[in-house]
Amino acid sequence: MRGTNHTIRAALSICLLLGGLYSLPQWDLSINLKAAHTSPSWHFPLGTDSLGRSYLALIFAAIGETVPILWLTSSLALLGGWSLGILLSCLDRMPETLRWIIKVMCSSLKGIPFFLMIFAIILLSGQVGIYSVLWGLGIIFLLQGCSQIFLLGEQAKNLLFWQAHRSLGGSTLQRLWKYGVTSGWRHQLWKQWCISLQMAIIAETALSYLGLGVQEPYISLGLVLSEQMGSYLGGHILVALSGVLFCLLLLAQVPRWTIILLEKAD
Amino acid sequence: MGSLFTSLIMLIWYLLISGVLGWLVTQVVCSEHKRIYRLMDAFSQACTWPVIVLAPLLIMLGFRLFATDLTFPSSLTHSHLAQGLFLLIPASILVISSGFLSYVFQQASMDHRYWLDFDFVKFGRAIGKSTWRQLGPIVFIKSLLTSWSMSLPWVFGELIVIESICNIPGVGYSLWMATRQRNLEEGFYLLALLLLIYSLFAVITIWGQRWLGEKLAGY
Repeated sequence: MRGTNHTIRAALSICLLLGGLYSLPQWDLSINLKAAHTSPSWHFPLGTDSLGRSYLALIFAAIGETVPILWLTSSLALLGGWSLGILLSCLDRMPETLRWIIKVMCSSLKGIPFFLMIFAIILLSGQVGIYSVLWGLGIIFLLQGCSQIFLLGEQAKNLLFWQAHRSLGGSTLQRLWKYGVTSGWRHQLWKQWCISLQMAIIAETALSYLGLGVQEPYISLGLVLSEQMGSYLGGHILVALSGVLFCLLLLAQVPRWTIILLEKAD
Repeated sequence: MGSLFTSLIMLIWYLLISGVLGWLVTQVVCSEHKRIYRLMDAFSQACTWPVIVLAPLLIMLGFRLFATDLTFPSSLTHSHLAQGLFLLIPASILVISSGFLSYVFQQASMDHRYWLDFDFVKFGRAIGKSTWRQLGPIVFIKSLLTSWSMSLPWVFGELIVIESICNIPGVGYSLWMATRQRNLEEGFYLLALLLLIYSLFAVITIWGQRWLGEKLAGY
């Protein structure tokens, strides 16, 4: 009964919140120069930018446009990396020297700072924009996913029940799937996925803020934040900034909180 | 100040601030006060914000509330000492955003629990010696070294962002400028330089951990 009450309360709160948000009058992103740099009001809860667009609408548009693409790219790249890692681990006839080289490369890759890698990729690509960010994130997560599975496989190789399964005629793929991906490594892989989602948001926002990520006319949280900082001497900027920061914090922190919950469950 | 020198000073500030914080956290853990421990646990978990959130917020708040410009004082009127002292604020942001607090708290708790089972600690407690006096230095140094090695990749990544946001003329800022100007040669030189400094710091922490491991193996 108590559980039902909580569910009803939660559903009502969500409905009220959504209803309240949709009842706000300004959601369109059309340019209205007469309303430029307006202070926060009922029509524009976080004020407007230099083109008269509502900041709240801009923030929601940025979340709707950029975040799904980022999270999809990161997830696909990570899935690809894990598959590649499984494939590499299944190559039983690989020479030991080559295996050792791959192991050293994977271990080194884990230690390299994320932002240094993404700057290197942007420098190499010679272009800025959402595509270079997506390419950068994709390559990094692919490599990280692959190295994670490969290193886990190398560690688990010497476990007794893995050796027993091998001597009974089981294949490497079966072991990787049964004892690794679906059981022993599950939490670690979830954790890696959550970190990737968090890093994707942080990297995109930071790069857009620095002028290396998403460019106009596309919208991004980093761009909105950058515009705020550019004119922080006037107006009700603090209100707008708190809106952007709140969204950014929430998006970057939700995966982190998931990791903490997973660790507590462990 | 040269760009390398500026970045190095900021990193040294980072090490000093994290050292002091590590000391305080170890004291909280060893004091075994359950309420303070829980409060610290929640605080350390909640206070890991990325630089891109924290730095603009602090700049805005500094300007609005204290009428202080927190971007780098690069004018000629400021002395080297003033510029060096200014780097304390970005270094503090780095400490928070690198997740150091969370790492050091988890590590200190784990080490504290591990060492409590040893006979010399039990004996010491039985004769009235405080846990802090017996375990404090061991837990502090061990958890500090481990936390540094865990947070260093984040520190070196966020260094570029914080230097760019706060206009600090360090290696990260120069790298950002080189990337914007598509200057491949300078960009890769600066990347290699950052990677070199990072490797140096990482090697020192790993060496420190090994040295400590050998020392503690005798217990």
